[in-house]
Amino acid sequence: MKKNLQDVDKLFKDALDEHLEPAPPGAWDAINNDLDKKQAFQFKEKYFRLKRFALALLLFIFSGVAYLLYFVQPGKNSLITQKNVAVSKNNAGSSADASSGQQVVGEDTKHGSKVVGEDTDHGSEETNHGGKDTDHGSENANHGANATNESSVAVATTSSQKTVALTKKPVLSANDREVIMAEKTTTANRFSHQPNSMKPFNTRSAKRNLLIQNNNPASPVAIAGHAKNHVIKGAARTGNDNYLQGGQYSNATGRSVKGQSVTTNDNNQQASLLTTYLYQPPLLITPTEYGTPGVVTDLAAGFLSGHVIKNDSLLKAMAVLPKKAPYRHAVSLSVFGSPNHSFTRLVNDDLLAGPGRNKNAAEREEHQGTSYSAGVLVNYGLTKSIILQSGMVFSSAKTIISPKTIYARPGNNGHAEYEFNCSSGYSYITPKTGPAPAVGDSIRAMGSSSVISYIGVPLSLNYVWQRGRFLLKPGIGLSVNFLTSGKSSTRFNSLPGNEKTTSSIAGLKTAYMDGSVALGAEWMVNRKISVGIRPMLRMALTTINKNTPVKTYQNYLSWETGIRINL
Amino acid sequence: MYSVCLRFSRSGHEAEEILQEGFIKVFSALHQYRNEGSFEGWVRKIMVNTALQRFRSRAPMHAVVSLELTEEQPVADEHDVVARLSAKEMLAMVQELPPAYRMVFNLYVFEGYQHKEIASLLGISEGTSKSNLYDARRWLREKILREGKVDNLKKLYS
Repeated sequence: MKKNLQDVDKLFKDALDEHLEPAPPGAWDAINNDLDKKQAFQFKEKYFRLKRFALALLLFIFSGVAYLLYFVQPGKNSLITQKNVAVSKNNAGSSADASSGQQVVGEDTKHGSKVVGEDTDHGSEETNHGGKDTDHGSENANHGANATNESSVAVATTSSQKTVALTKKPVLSANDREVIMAEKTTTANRFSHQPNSMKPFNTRSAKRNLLIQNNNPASPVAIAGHAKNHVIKGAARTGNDNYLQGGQYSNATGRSVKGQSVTTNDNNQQASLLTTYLYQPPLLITPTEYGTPGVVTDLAAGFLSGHVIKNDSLLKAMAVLPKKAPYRHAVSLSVFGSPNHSFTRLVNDDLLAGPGRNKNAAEREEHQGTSYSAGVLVNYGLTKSIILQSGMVFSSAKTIISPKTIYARPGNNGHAEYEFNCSSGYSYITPKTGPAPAVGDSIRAMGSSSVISYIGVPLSLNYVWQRGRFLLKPGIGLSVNFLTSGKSSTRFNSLPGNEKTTSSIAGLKTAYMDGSVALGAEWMVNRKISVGIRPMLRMALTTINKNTPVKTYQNYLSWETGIRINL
Repeated sequence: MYSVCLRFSRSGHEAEEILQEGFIKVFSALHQYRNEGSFEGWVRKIMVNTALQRFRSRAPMHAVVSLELTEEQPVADEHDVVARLSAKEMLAMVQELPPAYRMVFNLYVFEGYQHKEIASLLGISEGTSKSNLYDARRWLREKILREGKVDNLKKLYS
């Protein structure tokens, strides 16, 4: 029975294999029509795909530009003094006489005014009456919505002097008054403990008042100073950053200066106006803590007349600098190495897959070998907790192929060569020894392997979650991987000396894309250096090969271990 | 190619549709042909894959057809019966096979696939593939024998 059934196979094969049936007459016309429609549809599809891509690209560029314009501003966290302020000895010398001299801060020295940075428009003018010197007008800087929320703080510079500044408007809030009172009681003590380099103010200056108008009602400004009738206005605060940088210090003059404006390179590119009535040594106003009310420190004493204080020294002398947002605009460099677990997803090509050349055969014959990655990444803080990461990553994956029989076919050069197929692609092998193969010859390939290497350019977004020194960074990204080499090596036992032949793998694409999901954990060793580990899953979005019986998606599970250095 | 399509289809009309679809694929993917092996082999493979795709999208693969198997009889003149069968008649027999059997039989006998590969291509288990092939053979054998009996009866009463 079994024999009979096998005979059925042979019977039908013999009868039908060579049997030809003529195609119906209308078949070619139908194919022609369908082909035209299909081509038209393909062109249409391609066009729409291109259009969609162009639109996406435009949106990306637009959003990028918008981000750069409105969120990432030049001069972020820079100090006003670094760019716009120059304190020269000569100019300072003119202020040695605190009663009459002028000191120049910035560029404009005319009429006793000090211009620090760029000039800005001014709104309504206010008049301040305080201490001895009265009628010191100050121009009110208009800083958008915040301009209506001005509050003022008047501070007596020493407890011995009853010099609370009088302002016509706005009225002090309860918080402001508290701050003022606190300052009244502490300033004297502070000045009694001045370091040697900090000269105390003279008596005259101690009688003077300082008025700071802060645009942010939620952040009253406490001031310790010894200037007389100082009015510091502006310092508009929007966003998170150092709203008082714009008014970090002023300079002393021997006489009243009216209506000066200061423009800083504030985060929001709004004019941060510092309008002062300065009679005395300069004041340094620094926020003591990020996001908390600023304090005018008594480093101003260092500006006493006749002293030359360079910008750098001033910066160094600043007791407390505003803390930056943890990662915003911060740049760091990561170096890592990673052992990978590589795995592939195989899909049969509808047109090219066939017996012995399909995904089942590939899965049966191949298994993944060693794989590793190494790279350098640059991290850039987009916001306080979002980091953009990019760089270069080298990846290599080895595939071990079981022994199999390979057949000689006409190769690319026209001669018969053994065709070695693997999931990555195919290669043509010509043994160095032994007779040249003829088409149809077979040989047993032993101990074969293929190694493919890529250099990838990843772009990923990572969220930073920080708890003390410990950072957790989940992230997602995309990467374009460029083929650097694809080689297969095959050993032939049947040939003398177990000949091993290496050849390039054809059918590999020059580039493929993958998407990644990662969860990094870092430990900050110090402010500069962090070490960490990052498990990452990289899934191929496109195949690594083309025109092959099996389409291969190369995936990795990698364990990146490395070091990050803050630049 | 039309013959290949006929073997994988139930009717001439269906074969024509497979042929049409297959040739459109051939023209669309002509650049993928690597000049290896014969062009005819490549086109044939595309036709077979087209037929498979069509089959996968239309019919469930686990169709079980009850065969009214005749009692095993000694076939004295089996070779005569076979000799009298024309290729057209044999093709018709293959076309009459239930779709699941037809696919497995064609892939195994004419295209040279192994059961594991057939199972993967058709989305069935290897055991199902073997079983379908066995049933297809029995079905065809019965058909041949029936044809032979009819012929003998015809001879008797003519």
